[in-house]
Amino acid sequence: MTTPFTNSLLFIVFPYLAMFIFFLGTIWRYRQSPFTYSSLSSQFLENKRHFWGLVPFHYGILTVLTAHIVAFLLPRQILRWDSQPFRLHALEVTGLAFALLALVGLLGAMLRRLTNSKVREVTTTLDWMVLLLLLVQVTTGLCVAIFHPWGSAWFAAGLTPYLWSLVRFNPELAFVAAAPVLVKLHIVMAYVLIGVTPFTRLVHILVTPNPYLWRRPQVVRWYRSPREIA
Amino acid sequence: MKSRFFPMAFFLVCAAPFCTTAQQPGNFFQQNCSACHTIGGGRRVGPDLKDVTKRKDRAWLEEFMEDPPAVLHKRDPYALQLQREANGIAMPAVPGLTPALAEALLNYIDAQGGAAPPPAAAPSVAERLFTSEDLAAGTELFQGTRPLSQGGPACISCHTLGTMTGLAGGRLGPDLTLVYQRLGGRQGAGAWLTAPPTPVMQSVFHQHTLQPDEILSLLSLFEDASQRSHPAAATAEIPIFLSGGVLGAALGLVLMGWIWRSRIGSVRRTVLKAAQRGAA
Amino acid sequence: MDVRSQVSMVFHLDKCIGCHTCSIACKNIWTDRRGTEYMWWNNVETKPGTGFPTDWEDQEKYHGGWEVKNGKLGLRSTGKAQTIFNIYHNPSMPTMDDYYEPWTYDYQHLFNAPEGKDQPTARPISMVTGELIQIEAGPNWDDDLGGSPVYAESDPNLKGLTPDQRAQLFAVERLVMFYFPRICNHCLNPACVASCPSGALYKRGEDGIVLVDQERCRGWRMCVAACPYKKMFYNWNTGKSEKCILCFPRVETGQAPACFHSCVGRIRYLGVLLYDASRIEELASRPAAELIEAQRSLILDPHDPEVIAAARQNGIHDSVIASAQRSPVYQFVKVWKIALPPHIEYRTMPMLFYVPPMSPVMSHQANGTIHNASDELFHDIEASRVPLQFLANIFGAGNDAFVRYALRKQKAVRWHRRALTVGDVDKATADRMLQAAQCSPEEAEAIYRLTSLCTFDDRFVIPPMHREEAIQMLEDPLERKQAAGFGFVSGPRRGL
Repeated sequence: MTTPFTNSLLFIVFPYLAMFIFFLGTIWRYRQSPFTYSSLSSQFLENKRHFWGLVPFHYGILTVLTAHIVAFLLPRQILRWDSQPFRLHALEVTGLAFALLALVGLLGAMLRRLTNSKVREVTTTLDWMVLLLLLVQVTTGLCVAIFHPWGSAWFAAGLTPYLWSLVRFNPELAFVAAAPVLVKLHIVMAYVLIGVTPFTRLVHILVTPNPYLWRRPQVVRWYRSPREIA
Repeated sequence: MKSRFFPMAFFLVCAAPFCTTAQQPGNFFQQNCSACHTIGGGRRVGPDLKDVTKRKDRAWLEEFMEDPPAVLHKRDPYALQLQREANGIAMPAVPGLTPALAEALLNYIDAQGGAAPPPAAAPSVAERLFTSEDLAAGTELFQGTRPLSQGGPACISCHTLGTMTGLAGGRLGPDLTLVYQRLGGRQGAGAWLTAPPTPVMQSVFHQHTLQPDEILSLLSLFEDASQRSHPAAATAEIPIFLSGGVLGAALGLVLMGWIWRSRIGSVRRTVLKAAQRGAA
Repeated sequence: MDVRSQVSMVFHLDKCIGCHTCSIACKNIWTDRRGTEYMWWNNVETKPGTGFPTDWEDQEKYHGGWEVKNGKLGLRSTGKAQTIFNIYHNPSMPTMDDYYEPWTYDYQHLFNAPEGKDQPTARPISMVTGELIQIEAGPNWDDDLGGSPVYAESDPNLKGLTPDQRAQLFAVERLVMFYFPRICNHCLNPACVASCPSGALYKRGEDGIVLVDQERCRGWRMCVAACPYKKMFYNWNTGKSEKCILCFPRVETGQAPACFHSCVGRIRYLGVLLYDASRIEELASRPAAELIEAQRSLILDPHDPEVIAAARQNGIHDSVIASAQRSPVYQFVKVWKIALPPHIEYRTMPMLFYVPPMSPVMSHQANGTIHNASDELFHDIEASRVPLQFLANIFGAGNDAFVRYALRKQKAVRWHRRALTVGDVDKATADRMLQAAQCSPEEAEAIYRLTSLCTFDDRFVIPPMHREEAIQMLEDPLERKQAAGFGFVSGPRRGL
């Protein structure tokens, strides 16, 4: 994982490839088979363990994901927050707590899929692949947080410039190339997850119902416009 | 049209980092080597490079320059000896050092060595004694409570010191407790900090260089740490950190259970149970 | 005034015999697919009973429908902002356990069992997992008061009944029940539509049928929780919600929906109502006691020239207006006022109305004449075996005045016809009854005709749907020539 060639492959070719597949794949799937865009919830078949799996998982993973995005978009502000050791440590412990929630929830969800016969009925091999990928990603993320602190600071200082260099089509690898294996694995797995998204149930993230917040409560569809005909 | 353009652009983008722009060896030396090496100015972290081509053959030198860790990995005796002389610090791979540039650099070193000793490339770290103010300022800079003037991230992001307690500093980079000796004291460490040579430090600090007064304060901190303490085990803070996280997660679970306490379990079973209880 | 038309329904409970033919017709057409086995878009419940899913009427448990909070109408299950937080686990969603786990039987075993001492049996196997199961519940688990100490006693509508009334319902020799067939009410203020985060649920503008756009449904399951009648079903196989579609492909071609068509007791009526869409929110927010009147005031008189003009202006076709004028539903609901909405207190403005059932007659025959068991004309309604309060909890938001009115009128019509045809009832008494029930002899005749002598065409006045005026029909018919293929307007595309 350390030669310049593999570094370029994993941290330049791979992210572009993943984004390329992601955009093309989701658009293609949305146009070709919109019917397949669903949360594919199994709450209907079992709801007690569903709560203790899915709720901690989603709140954990979404908070951690948001933190990554914030560190990507607002690195200065994150570094300013981290300028007091107490605040830095508080942020890191909070992040760790949410990551642990995600892990607990994910393990709960996997156990549920494994042991409940009804839920097992609606579980495909692809679902297992997604769950395993997520497990690896959450675990490596946790290990990075534990063994290579303090990620909130060095992500903003080192990885954000790398990610922006990708956005500007002028990749600078120095920081990632020298990063520990765990960090590299976490980054590569993120690209893998982005790349497989269009072909898995993960697409449900893309159809989060934001317009609901501002649309009118009732929806009426006409197959002929009332005014037009009159 | 679009579909043909995209792979093309994609290829170009991927190929971009492999092309390095031609560079003057003199400039390159100043930017990448001078933190650890001089030409006729005496030893810093690394050896004085004057007459280096007379001490060792060019083929070996070029191979070593292009990828020092690889040569060390082969347990080359001369390379290992160099590492011992540098207090165990290995020379990092220098980004952008192509074979052509390595040759040009050696030529440059030869040319410079023949001339009079070059003007002191060494940074001007003040010669005065460290004061308690320096130590205090160093601590603040290290922890980030006083921002670095050029906007670089605080040391605590990736480094820790044996003198820190509780949830100490970061562990992405090395523990800096003994860095003062390792980099050869005031002059060596000072030069190192002026233009950090490792790829990671370079990528983070090349646009946010450390200023001489900041370096002085940090040196004061490093000297103090190296005299007062020893590096803590790399896993020392994990129990505290982890227990904090576990506590937070447990709190989160309790909170979730409480927020959604009126969620539906099984209405049918509840009704059955209530009716049977009523009948009994 | 924003006039719209709505295909509406009346179920005459006095005629329902609880044969479940409607349920089977529906099941065979629409819900025999994997993931829909447990769904009964049409089901028939026994009252008193807990229904399907168990105890669906208890909104303390299911949090369905609307509520007025601080003068504002809002969903009970979830607010708009809350939806985002409840999306990972819907706290108000029933599970398969609250309906039942669908099963079939291992029939093959009857043929393949090795020779043995005992007759082979066909044991029940789950249609979800294919494993052998113990059947614990079914779609009609409490049919005909089966298990009534548990199920009938748990009916939420028993709330507010005196101990005497309860005893009257359950005393073994006086055991009484009626049937309650249910489909989607295609409400005017549907909670399911308002709760759908994806905007997949919608009400058709032309006929008011509420549908799920399967391509836009993302399986967030909010509708299942929001519908107080529990007529939204989650397909666990496709991850999409499904519901009664009022057989729109049949209705569009002039046929009655399958459950209407197959109804043995001929209890079902279908016709168009014109209503004022601009007042829905205001009227649905009224105090519970006023809701029935509020809903009636929403329904417009299709003979009123002003209404007709406004309807025309809104693009409602003259043929639809003519259909509304002949609508049997309009007669039952607005003119005779004997059909009432179920649980109007859920505030969804259901457009399926029920004629409340009469209890068995309390009278006796002597000297060839029927005599009331009491001198009071309507004593058997007041002391009905199904307590008025119980019916009022279902059909009157707890207010028994509307139910009493409907039952009195029904009884008056019966005695009126009895006096005319059999003659063993005193004509003067019958007339007195009609008067007391605020029913003219002409109206009594009309009710009698539409109740007892109704033909297919009387019961189902299906409006022309005018699909030829659909937007796609107004486009240039040659526009997509050589571009679109079979099935998709977007046109067939060669795969990648």
